Amino acid sequence: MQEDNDTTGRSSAFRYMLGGLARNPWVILGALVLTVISALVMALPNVILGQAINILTTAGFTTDFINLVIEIAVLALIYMGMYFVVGYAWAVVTLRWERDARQDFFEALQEFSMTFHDVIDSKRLLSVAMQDINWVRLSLNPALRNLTYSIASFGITALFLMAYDLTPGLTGFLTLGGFPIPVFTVIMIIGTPLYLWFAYRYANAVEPVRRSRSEQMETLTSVSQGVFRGIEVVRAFGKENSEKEKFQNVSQEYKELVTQEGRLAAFYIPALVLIGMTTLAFFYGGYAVLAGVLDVGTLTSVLSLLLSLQGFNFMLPRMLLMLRGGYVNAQRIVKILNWEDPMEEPLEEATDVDWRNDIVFDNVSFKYISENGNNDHYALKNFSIRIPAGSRVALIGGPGGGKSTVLKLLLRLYDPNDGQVTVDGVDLRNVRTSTVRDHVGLVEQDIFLFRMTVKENIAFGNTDASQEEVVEAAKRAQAHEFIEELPKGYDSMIGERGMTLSGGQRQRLAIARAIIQDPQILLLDDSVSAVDAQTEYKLRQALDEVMKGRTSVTVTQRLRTLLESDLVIMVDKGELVAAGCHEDLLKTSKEYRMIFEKLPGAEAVLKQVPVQGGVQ
Amino acid sequence: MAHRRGGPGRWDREKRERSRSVGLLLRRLLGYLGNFKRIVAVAAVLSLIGTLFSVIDPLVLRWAIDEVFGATTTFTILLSLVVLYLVLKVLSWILNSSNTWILASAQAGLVQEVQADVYDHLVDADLSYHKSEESGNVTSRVTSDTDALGIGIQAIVDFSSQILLIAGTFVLLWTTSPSIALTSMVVIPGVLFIAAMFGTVGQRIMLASRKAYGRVSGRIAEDLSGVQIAKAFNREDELADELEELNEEAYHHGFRFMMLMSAMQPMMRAIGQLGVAAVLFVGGSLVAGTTSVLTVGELFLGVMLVNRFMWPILGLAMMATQVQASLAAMDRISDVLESKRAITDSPDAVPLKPDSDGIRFENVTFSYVDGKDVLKGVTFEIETGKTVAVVGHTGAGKTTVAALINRFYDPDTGRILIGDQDLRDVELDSLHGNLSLIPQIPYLFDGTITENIRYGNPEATDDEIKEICTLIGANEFIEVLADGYDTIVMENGKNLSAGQRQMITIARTMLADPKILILDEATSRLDAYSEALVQEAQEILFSDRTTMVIAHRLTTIAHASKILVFEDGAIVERGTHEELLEKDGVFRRLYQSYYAHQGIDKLTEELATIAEEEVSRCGGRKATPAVPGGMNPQQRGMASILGGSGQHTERITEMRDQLPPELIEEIRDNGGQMTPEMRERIRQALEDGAEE
Ligand SMILES: Nc1ncnc2c1ncn2[C@@H]1O[C@H](COP(=O)(O)OP(=O)(O)OP(=O)(O)O)[C@@H](O)[C@H]1O
Ligand SMILES: Nc1ncnc2c1ncn2[C@@H]1O[C@H](COP(=O)(O)OP(=O)(O)OP(=O)(O)O)[C@@H](O)[C@H]1O
Ligand SMILES: [Mg+2]
Ligand SMILES: [Mg+2]
Repeated sequence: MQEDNDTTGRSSAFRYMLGGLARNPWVILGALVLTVISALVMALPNVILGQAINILTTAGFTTDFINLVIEIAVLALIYMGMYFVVGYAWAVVTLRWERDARQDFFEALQEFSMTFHDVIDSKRLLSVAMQDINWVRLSLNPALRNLTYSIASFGITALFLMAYDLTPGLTGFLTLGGFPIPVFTVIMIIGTPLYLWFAYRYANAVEPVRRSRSEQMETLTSVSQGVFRGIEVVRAFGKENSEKEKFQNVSQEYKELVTQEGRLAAFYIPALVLIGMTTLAFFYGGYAVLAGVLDVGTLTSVLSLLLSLQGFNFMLPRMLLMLRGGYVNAQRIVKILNWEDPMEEPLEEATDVDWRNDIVFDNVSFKYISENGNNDHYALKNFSIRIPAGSRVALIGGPGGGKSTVLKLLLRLYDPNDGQVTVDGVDLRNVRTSTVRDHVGLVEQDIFLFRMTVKENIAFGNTDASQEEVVEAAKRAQAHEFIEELPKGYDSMIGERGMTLSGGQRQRLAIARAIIQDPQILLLDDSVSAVDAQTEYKLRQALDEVMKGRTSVTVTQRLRTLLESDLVIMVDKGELVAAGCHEDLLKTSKEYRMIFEKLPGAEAVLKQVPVQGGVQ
Repeated sequence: MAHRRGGPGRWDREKRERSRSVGLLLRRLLGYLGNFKRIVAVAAVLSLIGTLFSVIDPLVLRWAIDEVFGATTTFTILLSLVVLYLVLKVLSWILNSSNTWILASAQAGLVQEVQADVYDHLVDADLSYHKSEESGNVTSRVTSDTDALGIGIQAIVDFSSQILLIAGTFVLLWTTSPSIALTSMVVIPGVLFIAAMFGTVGQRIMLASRKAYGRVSGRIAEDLSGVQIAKAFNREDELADELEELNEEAYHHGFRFMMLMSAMQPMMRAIGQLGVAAVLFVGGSLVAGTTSVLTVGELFLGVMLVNRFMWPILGLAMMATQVQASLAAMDRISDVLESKRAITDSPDAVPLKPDSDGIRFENVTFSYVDGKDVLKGVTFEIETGKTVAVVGHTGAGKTTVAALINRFYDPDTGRILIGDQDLRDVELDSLHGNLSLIPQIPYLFDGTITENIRYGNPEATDDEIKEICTLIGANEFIEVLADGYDTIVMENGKNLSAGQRQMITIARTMLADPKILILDEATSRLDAYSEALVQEAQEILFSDRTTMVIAHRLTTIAHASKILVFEDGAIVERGTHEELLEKDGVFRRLYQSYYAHQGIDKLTEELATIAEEEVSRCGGRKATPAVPGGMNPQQRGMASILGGSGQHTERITEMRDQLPPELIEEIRDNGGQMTPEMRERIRQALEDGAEE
């Protein structure tokens, strides 16, 4: 079972890696052919050198000799042109792949439901999107490109050497039991696979090291980023030294891994194989020359062919590591892309939903998925409530009660594990997420603004909005005044360095963003907590006007909102505690009274309400 | 002060050019290398010998070729030459490998040292630096910059052996034949051309490409943190389109860079081959002729060496970019290393004395940016064991006061004392050991909930942690989480609710058990009930500690013995609850508008109470609310306004009817605040009513 999974993972990571090349098969095929030809073009001068030396030693400095010299020069130029084309082809194909892979990866991430983003650290996603994809590309170009060239060179060298074995003098020079031994061929036939085998083993050895190194780098990054983000807390507790120590430990470990990986590059065994091959050829060739069956020119050719292979010793280890490492990276990417999303879009969408109609939570249970998968804590448990059309609803409850979760379910950021959320009698599961989100607007608890201008941030709720509509929304959200005072008004950048908004200002921008969307259902998650009372009052008035006849759900800690709501819903630890209008709840719910008592100003109200059912 | 502003401001992330000389940066880099003197020395010797071997081995081939060509050789001579060749080759392989092996640890060690150095500096860097930079960007100082340095070190080490190789090869060529040596120099213009192209165009393209790449990365990071908003507003496609543009741009620059790289390799090789052709031509003419001045072996050597000559030069050109990149990284790192910390222990700093307590601000002025004072001549005192509340509109400077007490910054003028010790003379460690801050924005580290709470006090036992959580009402929710106290907190607590995050920061600080406590909007995300629990816990644990409470919500300042009202960086009012309510000032207005909206049923009710108070004040009829035992001062204050007793409630309803409806409307429109003119009209109306 385990293995099965592994192999499927393997093949798809492999496919992912080669997907880039497969996309333009003809270009790559052409590039491969050119690679082989240019390897040939690069090997030829070694052969020509031998001929030239032969001519020199026999005939002297003749025109034939000069022609050969010119041939070498011309071949050099041809090689340059050809290999440039090869480089061009590879660059186009692989860089486009990288671009598209990154884009696709990002779009896939965006497509995944919030569950995915809850479980996976966004720092990790970023590093995969940037580094891992980049490493995969590096493993194709230059690594694979250079490797194909090296292999072509090996092959061509082998062919040339075999051809030398067939020169008249050499056939039958050495025999074993009557059979002639083509020594150069034997050297190549035994040496090349040996070389490649050792090279492969070498590259495999790097895999675990590279994997732990990548992971350790992630730890290093997240440890330091965590500390830099929370630097105030670190300072306030005077923990600088212990943080430094912690970092020391992590970076020491990283050092060990870097050292290990660096050491792998030493003692590159395949180089020894090549040395052996050269030496043997040298010995055999020299012997043959002594015996008079081989001329000096051919010997020089053989030697220089083999010597130029040694140039690859330099490059091959790095490229092999890159290729093997890239495979590890591809596995990491594919693993993320293969994540199974529990949320599915309906095949056929329910149409004609009246979003202004009743909202019903029907025995809803929901739990967030945790990374280790053993979460049995329900954020909402058997939660049932009917929200009548067009009502103003207040949600209250303690920290972690499930208030935000209720709102997120209404926005279909998640689907319930059990039960259903319906609007106008239609289960939200039967409505596409994008449709739900067109009709439901949210002002979230922790405001997020993009690094754009004020105007763009507001228009995020409706990209077609005109300047007038943006201003109108800002006015409704009581944000117009402070926006006008910003250095560039609606065109001021926010989120950039130096331009920081206070908490209350951010909340008002987020409200404007939701207003401009003109939602049928508006969800406010504790979104005026940082706004001062006077402004809040005006804001509520404006919102009431906008939301006339539509449903709004507000999470609040403020008494006034409770009093003004048509329906108050109280949740605690994921369960519905009480629901009803304020007056009824005061009379019937002990829990509600308990919370309410703590609210400033409640004292006076309580005095006016006759106590029922022996509370107090 | 000057260096505070000078330092971080210049830590610009996208500097176009280096600001330090190459020499200085190299020296600094080599300085770190100096810590590994022995290893480097051994490696250098090995590398030297290895290089000599690689220079010599073609010589053996030359001899061999000349020998066999001379045809006077015996088999033994050939064999010994072959063995010599093999020995040389294997030796140089061993030497080079040992060299790599040894250097690997030096290289990694060096990177680690720089990392630790940079990290230490950053942890201690001025807060204004961290505020002005994205944390991802700061992190890259520690990670990617130091990594780039590692590659550079490799290049620099290689550099010397490459130089050696070039020099050795050339000397060899020269001794073989000066004319061949000179001929081989035909490759130099080509190499120089390529190197120059890389230095100029290549450098520019590389920079542009890196920047474009950085923009893509920044955008992805941002979009991932805002993914919930993108989903909520159906904007995934637009964001993807925007990314595509940046991506396309990055591709464009990346492509140009790669084309340059792909052009370089075949160009170098082609130049090498042209060099071979030239040497062959010149060498050939020398070998031939009647007076042969060159042997075939020497010609072969010449040809081999020209190629040899090429590789290190090619390597150097390649390395030049790496060295450039790592020098740029060193430059950015140097910014961090050279920056002087504004806040350090002064040489004669002493620990905080055990009996130093209470906080005093003496005429403190402070600005984040020159010319814009955030605090203006602030003077106040928090006596030992007392709780003082700080209130004021957003941006008034409350958080700044808290930051100054923590000595995150030093005041521009004036001084801050704890007991009779100026903060500047107190060791930072001991200051922070005695002082705890709950910051406005809760921050949690990656790790379990227990680890986060224990942060404030590493010695605390699990029982103690549980105890404190029970006390503030956090135990309830923690226990039901997936893994209870061992639940992993992810990315600043994205798997917890907002209130839960805040509760954990409160538990963390309470566990630290500080002598002085500063709460900056510590309970803003809690419901009234949980807040009350926290306040009770605070009462039990910290009733006699010096405490500063900053709050928007006025319930939070219930226990304060004194209230400071900030406006625009100055204290505009101070006094007890009652005193401030008596005054017709900022606090009263804040207070009223707060309750007007926290407030009761109908706005008119508050109006009536205020009106009643007006009447009782001016009409000499003192409102004497019956205060139930155990009511805290804040509730008392509230009661006096709202009418805490049943008797009052009746009167309120009564008086409400006496107010003209249009006046009520007017006040309502004003957000529940009353202008003096309105007060006057209320009084008038009430008096009229009384007369009837
Ligand atoms: N790091 C900073 N760099 C520059 N200006 C800053 C910085 N931090 C705060 N400010 C500015 O200083 C002023 C006072 O800010 P501070 O955070 O002290 O206000 P506050 O009273 O705590 O407000 P709030 O109630 O919103 O928390 C504001 O105008 C703010 O914009
Ligand atoms: N993304 C998440 N992953 C895992 N668990 C979560 C996630 N978000 C919330 N929870 C858990 O679900 C429960 C309900 O959280 P929710 O955010 O709905 O509370 P809340 O009522 O909004 O609280 P608050 O008033 O503090 O905002 C909590 O126990 C919380 O820890
Ligand atoms: Mg919430
Ligand atoms: Mg503040």
